[in-house]
Amino acid sequence: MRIITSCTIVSMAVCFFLLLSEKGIAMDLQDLQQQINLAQEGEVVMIPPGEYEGSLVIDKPVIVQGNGKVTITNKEDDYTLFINSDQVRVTGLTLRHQNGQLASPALLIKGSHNVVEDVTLYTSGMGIMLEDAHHNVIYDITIEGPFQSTDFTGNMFMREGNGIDLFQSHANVIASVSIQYVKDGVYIEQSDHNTIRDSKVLQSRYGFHLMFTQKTNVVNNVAEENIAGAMVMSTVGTTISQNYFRKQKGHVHSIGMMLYDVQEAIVKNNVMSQNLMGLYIESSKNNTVQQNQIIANYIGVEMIRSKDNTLKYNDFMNNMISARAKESVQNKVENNFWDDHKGLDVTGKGVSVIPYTADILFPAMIAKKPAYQIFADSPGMFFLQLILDVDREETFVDQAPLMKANRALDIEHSKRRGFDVIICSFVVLLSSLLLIVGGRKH
Amino acid sequence: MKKTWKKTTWLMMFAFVVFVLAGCGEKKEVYAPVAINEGTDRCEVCHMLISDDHNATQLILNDGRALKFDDIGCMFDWVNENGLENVNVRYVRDYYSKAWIKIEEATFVYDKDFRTPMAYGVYSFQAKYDAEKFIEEEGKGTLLSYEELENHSWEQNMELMNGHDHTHEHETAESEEHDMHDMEHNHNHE
Repeated sequence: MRIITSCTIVSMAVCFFLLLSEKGIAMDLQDLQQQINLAQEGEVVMIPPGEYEGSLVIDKPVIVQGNGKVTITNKEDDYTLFINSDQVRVTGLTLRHQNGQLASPALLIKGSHNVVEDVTLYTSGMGIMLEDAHHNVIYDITIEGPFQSTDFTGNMFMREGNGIDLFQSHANVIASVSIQYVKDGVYIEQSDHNTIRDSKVLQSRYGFHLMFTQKTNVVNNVAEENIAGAMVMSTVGTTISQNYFRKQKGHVHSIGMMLYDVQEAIVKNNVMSQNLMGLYIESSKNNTVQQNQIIANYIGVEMIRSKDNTLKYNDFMNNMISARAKESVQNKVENNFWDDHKGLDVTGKGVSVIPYTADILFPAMIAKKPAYQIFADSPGMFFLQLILDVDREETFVDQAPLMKANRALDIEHSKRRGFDVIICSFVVLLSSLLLIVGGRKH
Repeated sequence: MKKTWKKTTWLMMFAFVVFVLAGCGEKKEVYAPVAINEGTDRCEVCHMLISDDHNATQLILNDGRALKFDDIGCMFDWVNENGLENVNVRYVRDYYSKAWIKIEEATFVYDKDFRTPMAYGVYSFQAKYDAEKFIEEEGKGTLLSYEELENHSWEQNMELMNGHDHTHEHETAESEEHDMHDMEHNHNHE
């Protein structure tokens, strides 16, 4: 009896201890907040490993560093971490922002010259928000939004929070950031001289969304399986280079990259592949689109009401429809490679003397009756183009299209295609053999 | 003769019916607003997907086709381009209830700092009282009637983006790039 009683007491004690330690894991942040409040400028505040609950405000220039695995969970406050100062450095944290408010950020920054590095955010709303914050560095960050789905049709209204949201914030650098399942991966509004590089946005609404910005640099990023890879709207002097915008095709309005009301942008050395629409340009002028690979999209490029743009040395390959245009005159289009063009090289310089003209009829047709899209690439359209007196001055013409591509096919893409071809060939071979063998037996 | 008379009567009656119907037709039928489908509807002008919120607007053409916009400014942009000849009705939304209201019956509040999808900064209200209360609460904003909105200079808002140049203030993010290189260097050593 005694043994049973002592066993019960011991097991209860163990349970109590376990419960305590369980409770102890979710430590309160008050002590830590006090430590930050008492710290001298430039002091390092180390956060011991563990799970914390609540929110933190850093309002002086200190270094806050997670010493091991530090997770802060916030279920109530408007933000999980608020940097309301200049010269703050935050590293090594995991923030779980679970207050359920779609537009509230896990990390809010209202200060300049701050560095946020090696931080992982799981958010029920927005990831990082910068308001009137300049010269900050956001580096090595992972952001995961709440909607783990690529169903863009039904749940779109739930996607209120952007991954990183910049409003009236200038000269910030966002680098090596990985973002998934949010509204817009990186959204920049009324902010100038910002740089986004080496980052990746997957399965979100728009990958990189620029609105009313000047001199933004978007370099060496990947946007995959979003509705749009990059939405560049009402901007001046944007540089977009060495990016991959691919597989934007799960939505009826999927686009690799859209330039709308864009001026003086340089779009260079990007790959736009396997999108519904590779590149869409509307109401834009004085832009340079050069040396891009626009591959295996349903529509390669479409240009509407745009002028004084330069399109050269781009490769348009394996697109269902290479180019469409409407009300787009005075564009300098030359030396692009169009794989559906039947050129003639009489000089031996690799340049065709027969110009390449973008399709003008189809965009005009579907403008009023979108349902006519069903006739895309139909033989009837081809004959209509021949019969109808289409005003060819409304479209753009490549006066000197190239006979060969400027660059080799995108490596990953060509590898994938090669693999597909092998599999298909094997299946055809196998089925032919079966037919022959089966036929003989009968 | 009798047969011809009968025929004429029938023809006249038919013509009368046609005239009556045509007369009825002159009284313009106003189309009801259609719902915003957030998954697929995009703005006719700027092509952004439309949120089913207070900023959404729509106009319905005489042929019944609804054109939807993510910002009231985009709707005015479309009207400037295409005119109102083929437009049956224009709807905006009440800021609070999101109810569709005919544009002529709404009151508007404008401030360049109000955040709307295309930065036109105009909100619409069903009741003038609500609009006035909103201005009071926000501490900013100009009250506009429909007539005043027709003369509103939408371009001014765009100056917000094009007018400011922070070249001198912020130059480029060079110093940050230096920091970045240091970080990458440290990472490589770890």
